[in-house]
Amino acid sequence: MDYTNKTDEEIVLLIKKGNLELYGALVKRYETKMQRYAHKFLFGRNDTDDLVQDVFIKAYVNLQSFDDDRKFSPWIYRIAHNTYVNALKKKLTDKVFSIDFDTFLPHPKATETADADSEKMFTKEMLDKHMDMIGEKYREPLILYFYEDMDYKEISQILGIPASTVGVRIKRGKEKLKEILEKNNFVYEK
Amino acid sequence: MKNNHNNSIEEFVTSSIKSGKIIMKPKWHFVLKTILRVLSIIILFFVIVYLLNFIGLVTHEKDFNILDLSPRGMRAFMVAIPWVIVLLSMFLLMTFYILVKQYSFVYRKPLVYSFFGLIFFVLFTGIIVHIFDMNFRFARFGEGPRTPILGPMHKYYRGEMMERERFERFENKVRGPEHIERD
Repeated sequence: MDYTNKTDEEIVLLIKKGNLELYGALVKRYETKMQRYAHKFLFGRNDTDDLVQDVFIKAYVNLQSFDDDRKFSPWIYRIAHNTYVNALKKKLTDKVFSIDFDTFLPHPKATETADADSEKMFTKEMLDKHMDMIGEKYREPLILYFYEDMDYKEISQILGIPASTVGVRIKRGKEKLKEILEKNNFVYEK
Repeated sequence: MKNNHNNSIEEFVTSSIKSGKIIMKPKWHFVLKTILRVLSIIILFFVIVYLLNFIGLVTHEKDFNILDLSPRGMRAFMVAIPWVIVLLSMFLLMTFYILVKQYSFVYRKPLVYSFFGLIFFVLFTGIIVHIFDMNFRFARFGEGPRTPILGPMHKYYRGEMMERERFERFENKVRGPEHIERD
């Protein structure tokens, strides 16, 4: 069956109806993205391939829970987010009792500005070099925005936080990056 | 599940599907899970409202003046409030929040809106119960001495059944004949 012209959602519908072999097509489409996401978010770990594999296995096992009226991409990224975050949080207390005050209070409405291509390229280059110095709270939205080309709404669905908080975290992440660069005597040009 | 054969992820996953090592959960599993979740949310909601109503009823029956800030008044206040029930209500409210926060209409807004909106909704329901004089009728559910958990709870905080009925009759006398409850 020729699936190249089919959308992710159409492929999922076919899989749900019994064309299980088509799942390989979805894995092929998302394998590079999931690996990139894992490597950027979990740098330094040598089990990222296993985690990416777990993501695809979980997505397949729970495929019947996917809402056909929604987009597939944020759904599988959400599974990836949960898998990678669980890998980082080894203690049960971290999983259950972590309170994120960032999402608790309202923020001014996040306006998503279209960063110029050159600025985006520059920010990506700097992030590549200094990703390990940025905390996971800011690292993840930066990865999804700059590397996975997602908008605030999609990131909000993946991380389960308000869109305004996504904007705040990206802004703070960029400020952290600027601080790091200035410490290293690098001029951050906007 | 470990991939020990140096296969690509795609090959490993597709071969695991073909061999039956990984199986898709059926739709009814998720439908049932959703139904159970929704039922838990509804039941928890009514339990919290019941407990809040109970706290209101107990403090009402203990007859202390909330405006009395003297050491005696403060002591009466500390004794009157059923603190264990208050803590239990707070714990259940947190549990309720954890159950509902996965829904987009909750997580899309800052948590402070959802959390306090939830508290407001629960309190509002409790106030409606109070305004329509349903306190005692509401408390009637489960206050029999043989009712598990609720019966001993009523007995411990509100005294024996006869004392409660005496208070209730007094309340009805004070409020007027239209509030007289008949068994």
